[in-house]
Amino acid sequence: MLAMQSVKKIYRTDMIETHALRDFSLQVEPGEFVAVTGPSGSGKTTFLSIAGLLESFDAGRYTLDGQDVSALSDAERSRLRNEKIGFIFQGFNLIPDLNLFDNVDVPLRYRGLAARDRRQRIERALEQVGLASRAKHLPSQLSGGQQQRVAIARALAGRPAFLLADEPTGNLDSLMARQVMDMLGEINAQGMTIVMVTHDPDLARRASRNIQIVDGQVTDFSLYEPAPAVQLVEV
Amino acid sequence: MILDTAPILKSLWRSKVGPLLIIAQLALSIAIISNAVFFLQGRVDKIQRETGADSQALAQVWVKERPGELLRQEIIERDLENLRALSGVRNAAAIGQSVPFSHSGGSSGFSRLPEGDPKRVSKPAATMPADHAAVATLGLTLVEGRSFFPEEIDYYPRNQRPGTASAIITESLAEFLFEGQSPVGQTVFLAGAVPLTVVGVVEDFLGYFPATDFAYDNVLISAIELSEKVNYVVQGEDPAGLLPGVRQALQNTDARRIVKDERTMASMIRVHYSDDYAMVILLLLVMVLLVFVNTLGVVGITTFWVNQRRRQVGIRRALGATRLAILRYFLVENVILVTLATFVGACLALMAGHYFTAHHAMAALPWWYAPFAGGVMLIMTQAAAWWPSQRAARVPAREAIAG
Amino acid sequence: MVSYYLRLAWLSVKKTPVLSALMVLAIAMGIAACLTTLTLYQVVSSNPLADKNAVTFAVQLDSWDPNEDYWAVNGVPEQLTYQDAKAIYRTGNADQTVLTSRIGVTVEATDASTPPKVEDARLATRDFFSVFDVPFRYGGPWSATADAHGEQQVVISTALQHHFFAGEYPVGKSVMVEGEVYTIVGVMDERWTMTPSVYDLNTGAFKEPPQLFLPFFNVERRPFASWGNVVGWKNEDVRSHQDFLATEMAWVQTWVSLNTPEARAEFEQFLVNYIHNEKQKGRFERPLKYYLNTPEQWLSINGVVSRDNRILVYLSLAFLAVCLVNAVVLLLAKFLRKAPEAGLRRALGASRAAVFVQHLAEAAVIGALGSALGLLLSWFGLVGVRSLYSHYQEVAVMSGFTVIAALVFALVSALVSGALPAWQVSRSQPARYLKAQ
Repeated sequence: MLAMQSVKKIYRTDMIETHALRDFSLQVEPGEFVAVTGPSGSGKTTFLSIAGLLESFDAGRYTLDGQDVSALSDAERSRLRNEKIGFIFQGFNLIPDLNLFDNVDVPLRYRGLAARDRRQRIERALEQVGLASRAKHLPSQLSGGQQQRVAIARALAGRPAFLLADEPTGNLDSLMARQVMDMLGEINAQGMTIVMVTHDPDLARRASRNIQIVDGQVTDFSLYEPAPAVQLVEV
Repeated sequence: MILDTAPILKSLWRSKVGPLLIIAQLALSIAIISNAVFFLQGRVDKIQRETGADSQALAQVWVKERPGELLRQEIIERDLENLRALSGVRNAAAIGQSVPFSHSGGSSGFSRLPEGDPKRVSKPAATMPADHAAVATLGLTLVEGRSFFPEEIDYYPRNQRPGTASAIITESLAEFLFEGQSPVGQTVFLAGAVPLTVVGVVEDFLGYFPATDFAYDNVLISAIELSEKVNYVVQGEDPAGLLPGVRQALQNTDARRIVKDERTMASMIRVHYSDDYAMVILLLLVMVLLVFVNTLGVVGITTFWVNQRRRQVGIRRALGATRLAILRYFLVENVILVTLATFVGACLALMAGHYFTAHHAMAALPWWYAPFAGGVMLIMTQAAAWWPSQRAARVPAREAIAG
Repeated sequence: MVSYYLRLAWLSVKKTPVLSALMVLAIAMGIAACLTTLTLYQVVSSNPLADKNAVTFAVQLDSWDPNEDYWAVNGVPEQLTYQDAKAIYRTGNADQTVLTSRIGVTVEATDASTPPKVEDARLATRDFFSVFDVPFRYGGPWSATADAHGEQQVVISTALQHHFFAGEYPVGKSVMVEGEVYTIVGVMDERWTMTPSVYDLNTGAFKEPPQLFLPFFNVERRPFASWGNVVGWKNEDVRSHQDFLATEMAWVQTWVSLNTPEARAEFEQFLVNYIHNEKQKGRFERPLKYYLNTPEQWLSINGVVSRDNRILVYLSLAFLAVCLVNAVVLLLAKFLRKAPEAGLRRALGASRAAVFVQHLAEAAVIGALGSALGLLLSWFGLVGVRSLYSHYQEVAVMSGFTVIAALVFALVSALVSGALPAWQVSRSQPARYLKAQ
């Protein structure tokens, strides 16, 4: 599904070279729920940006759903991002001026789908996250947890190959965080591949596999049994 | 450095596009304004130049006898008598051909020597046939000699030539022809052929064609042709109020003669300068709008910068910067922008001025107009930047940690 | 997708109403200034005889003072002496010959039932009507015979027809002109105004058409009061009207039609022969010089487009430039504030091009609003120009073409000014904006 081999990323300023990722390799299989953890400054964000095709890298090889993305143009990467990846951000990143329907619509617009197809997908996605009745509301009228559920709906509506989540519960209180994690677990159970970046070991434990990044390298492969939602330890 | 110039410059340099654009906008505006002020000043000078006559007290009218009939001396004298009898009229005079600012009339070359003399130097001047009351009625100021005597006026038949005639000339023409000598009693030649005895010199006044090179070169000639048409000039406290009475007085003597174009000298002057008045208004409008647009731009960009740097401002506040220091930061930023813009604008203004001098035969733009426009722009934009800047100064220190 | 972008643009405009209004206003003012001055310029610089430019010529002959150049235009008098003009009419070989001069005449009814009026009139040969496209409401020009003999016939304006013969058919009736009876042969249509008045630029290029036309050679019989320019250089003894006609005074405006290059060559040959002939009689003492000016050249050498017209155009273009740069600055500020949203859209799969087009659409919406407002403002601008300049009354009117051109121009300039900010925002790195705010 997602395979990185010896990926290297260096940030250069006038003075300093920072090796954000060095010789980074990772393989994610379809249906997996992988959590990427690591201390701050370890390269998590860089990994996320590269995995999400938001940034290019300096060396190595990255294959996404069987396609080598190393040599793609910006426009091709945008298309790939649109079709293959569902993003879930810590800050939800909903567009405040658009109602829920239009927010979920955003990636579909760039897909160039027909109006009726988009409508079906949006309604279905909002139903999936239990917000179908609030399609006309603005994000500001929703709680944080609900907003994150809209973001999940937006990610799902595009029917991506995998979800890429960045601290999806970072801005939520524990109850809401649990709801969101439950939802991600459910989605994974239905067969969706999920890659989640987090600094929180308790959250990471709910994934099927944990990867730790230290100094831009994968240091630890530990396997966890996916824990049932009811057993989730309160944070 | 207390004014933070170095960090401001660095930060401006980093964001580049915005500052460059605002400098471009300000520079262009400064260039336009300095040229516009210069044009404007030229126009105002032109409008305000002395007419040399008692223009605010004058009105004029022309009369044409019924078809086939010509004017006679008695008719002109009777008309003038009737006009002088009107209440409010201080004086009235007959002037052949036309009056100052009318854009029609005769002109001819004047010289001290007759045609054929190889040393003859001639200068064009407007010829103004006038009666003995003309100098007083027009309000011209005699500097030498005298006005015409009534018996001196030669009312000569149409298509003939006047006999001996006298002339009163303006100072400019006197200076050109006589170079400091007294012209009174001397002879000047009209078209090198008609000798005229100069009896008086008047201060310069604007003639028929105020837009020409010989605007101030006028010759009053004591001879009026008895054609079908003559002009009358009346002087009074309220010339506009005299007009209906003037028409009445002239028409009463003969209902079938034509009395036309009664109007005040002031209105003729206004028409003459209408393009200049229009230009003054348009230039002022452009300047006001330019300043307004720039104010909009400065408010917009400063607001944006303030918003962009809220966190930075919060950090500075947390680290002990006073409100005044924050305010000063943004205002000094504006000073730097306007100063840079003034330099660029001065170059542009001088280039534009050079172009106008080269292609449109206009006077050169003095160098200090652009810095002056820059100064005005600085005051206006400081006022504009004040509002968003003091909002920045009120950013609380906790913004630094609100991340 | 276009409608999607337009909807987003409209949302964005509504979200910052003050900033958007300022941008719209700035663009509108720039557009209005340009549209106003360009409309004025277009009118004053137009050539109403453009379709005949190749075959119609204003004739100038250098019969001036051998010792001194003529002071105006191209150094040759704008008008001809009576004798030269007459020679071109009587013996010249042009396809059409127009001799004309502006006069003022007293007009009254034959029964003296109305008070006499002084009217602006022209002496003209009959070719004036076809060369300058004068349309007739009733009747037509006088005959060729009447033309050659200067018979007492007249073409009057619709206004005079109403004044003297309200409702009656006027052709064949008479009016008194300068105390003499003239027979009306035609009434010109009131539609006829020529702007600028190419046929006579001496007394202003923007004036009302004359009220009467008299056959030119009436002047052979009697004098008329000139309302144009009479210029001379020579000291001549004039004791009668016949003397005046024989002088070197130049006062006859002369135009010819030469329909083919051959006709032109033959006419030039005629002029050369004529001048040589006159030189032998002691006239034309200057080097042989004549000009056949096309209407376009004629407008140009007479300086119809004033320096003020040009300065105003430069000024308004510079002003528009400032307004557009201002719009760029404000758009830049606005778009950069929206950069996080653009970053998000990029993350969700929008290409740079899509983000660029989306923001360009917003610039276009602002530009469209600005140009609509600008159009409205320029209407007021032209009203203002008409009230400022007494002589542009009928002139300063917007044409459909200028309106469309202005709208296109406004939209293009809005797109140009939107391009840089849109490009900047489309280049922003998506990753930067996606971390928690």
